[in-house]
Amino acid sequence: MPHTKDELIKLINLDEPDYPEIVAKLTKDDIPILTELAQDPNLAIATKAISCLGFMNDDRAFAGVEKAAKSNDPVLRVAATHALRNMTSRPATEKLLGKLLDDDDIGVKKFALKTVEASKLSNLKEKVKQMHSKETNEHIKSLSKQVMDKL
Amino acid sequence: MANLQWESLGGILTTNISSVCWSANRIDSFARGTDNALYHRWWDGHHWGGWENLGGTITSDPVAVSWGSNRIDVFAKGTDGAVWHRWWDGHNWGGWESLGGTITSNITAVCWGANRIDLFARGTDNAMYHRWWDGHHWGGWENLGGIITSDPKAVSWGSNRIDVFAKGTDNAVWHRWWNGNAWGGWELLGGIITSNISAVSWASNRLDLFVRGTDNAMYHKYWDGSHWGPGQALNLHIKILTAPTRFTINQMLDAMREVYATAGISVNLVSTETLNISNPALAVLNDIDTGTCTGGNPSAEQIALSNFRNNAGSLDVVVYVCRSVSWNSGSLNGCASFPANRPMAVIASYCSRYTLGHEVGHVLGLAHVNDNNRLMTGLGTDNITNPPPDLIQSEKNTMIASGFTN
Repeated sequence: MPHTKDELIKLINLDEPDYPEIVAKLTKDDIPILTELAQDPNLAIATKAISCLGFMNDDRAFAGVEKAAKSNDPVLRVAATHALRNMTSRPATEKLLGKLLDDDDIGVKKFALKTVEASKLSNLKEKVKQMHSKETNEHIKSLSKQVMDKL
Repeated sequence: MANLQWESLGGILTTNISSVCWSANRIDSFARGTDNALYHRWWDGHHWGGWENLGGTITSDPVAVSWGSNRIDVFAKGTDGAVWHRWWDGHNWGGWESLGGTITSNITAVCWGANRIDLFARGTDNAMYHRWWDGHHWGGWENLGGIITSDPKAVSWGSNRIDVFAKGTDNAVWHRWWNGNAWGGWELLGGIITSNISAVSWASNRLDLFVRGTDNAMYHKYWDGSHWGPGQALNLHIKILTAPTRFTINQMLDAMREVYATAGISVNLVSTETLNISNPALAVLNDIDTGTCTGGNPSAEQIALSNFRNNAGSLDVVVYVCRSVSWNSGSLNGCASFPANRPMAVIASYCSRYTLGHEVGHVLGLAHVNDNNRLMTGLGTDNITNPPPDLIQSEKNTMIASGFTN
């Protein structure tokens, strides 16, 4: 039996959520409402719904994260990019991360690099190299060099 | 020119003096003599009487109280470490009566009504003990706990009300109180004191405390019926990378102040600064990664952000409002881990009304609780059920002892 929308909001909208503990209480039946919440205008709810989806190994959960990754709101894109860290076993994740490495937003680029680094996605090394060559923010440039060296 | 003359009342005294008044123009004073007996002088409105030898062999300061006209009760420690009692009933001295116990401090005594006496002293285990006379019998000794390092001091501001103060092992003042039904406290009142505590009440629900500080100056603290003054103050600086979107800084600050006031802590907003995120070093910190977000283990990004502490002292708390906050596993409203000597928290632009107070609570040493009626709920400050959320006494003590309030 899926949680109601209100139950899910109460469950996920904590100041410092322990996501593995929260997700242990969820089932795949909760994914549709989590996907809806991932677009909630209250970013406190939306970002946490995205983080939860990242822990749910399911095509629909990935679709929810992908939708957030393509949002116009950079806060949602940052949360989605971070959530992809837990979805790197999916081939589509690398493709999505490749696009996120090209994002205009510094925060999205930073978390994309961190996700690539954490999961050692060597298929994206060339993309990271390109990023390094054209990046203007010295800190992102330095981070991309660090990630490149580890891949 | 001031008159510096004092009237000599004679005697050779070997303790402090305890004086009590049981009516207008009446004073009774007690002290130990060179033979360790208790001595008494009195002012009857016209003349000084005494010194009257009341006998005994006492090993502490005497303490005298009066619960009615022409009534005096005097207490002192005997050579056996027990509390001993003599009383004047208007005609004769009674006693010495042993009240037992083995005490390791001077005694404090208070009367909150006719034919009522409450005594307090430190026991051999350094806890505070209480005996009381209810008009018919002596009750106690009741163990009130604590580890006290001074004489206790009791005062009453009304019927069936007692407030007792003592210095703790941290040299701060601690407080317990009887509200007519139960004992409250121990409540930490702070300070670093080098004397016993003097306490007095001049009206209902009013207390004034006086102590000596480490600089040998006299310090004063008061209870005005709703708060301890002067209160502890927390200096707060807000540094904005991204403006908050759900609540204004003032709304969050008001909410924090309302809760912190219950701990006697006033929140001083010392500065508000909008940081320039076109600075490349700040731009990368606007969506901050706090790593494990565990106390004493700040991430590299938190350490980098802590460099932007303009105008903040080492005990001032800096709160950075970032566009988003996350830790290893996902999105957060805030995080309070910080580098040594740089107390700080980060909160997300989309955080709740109470996240600011909650995260600073972590900075002051508070942990999560599973109670949505409390500020430190781990169940989400957006889910607080009965605002304003509460702080319990032990949390208030922790905040005041944190070193970040003064």
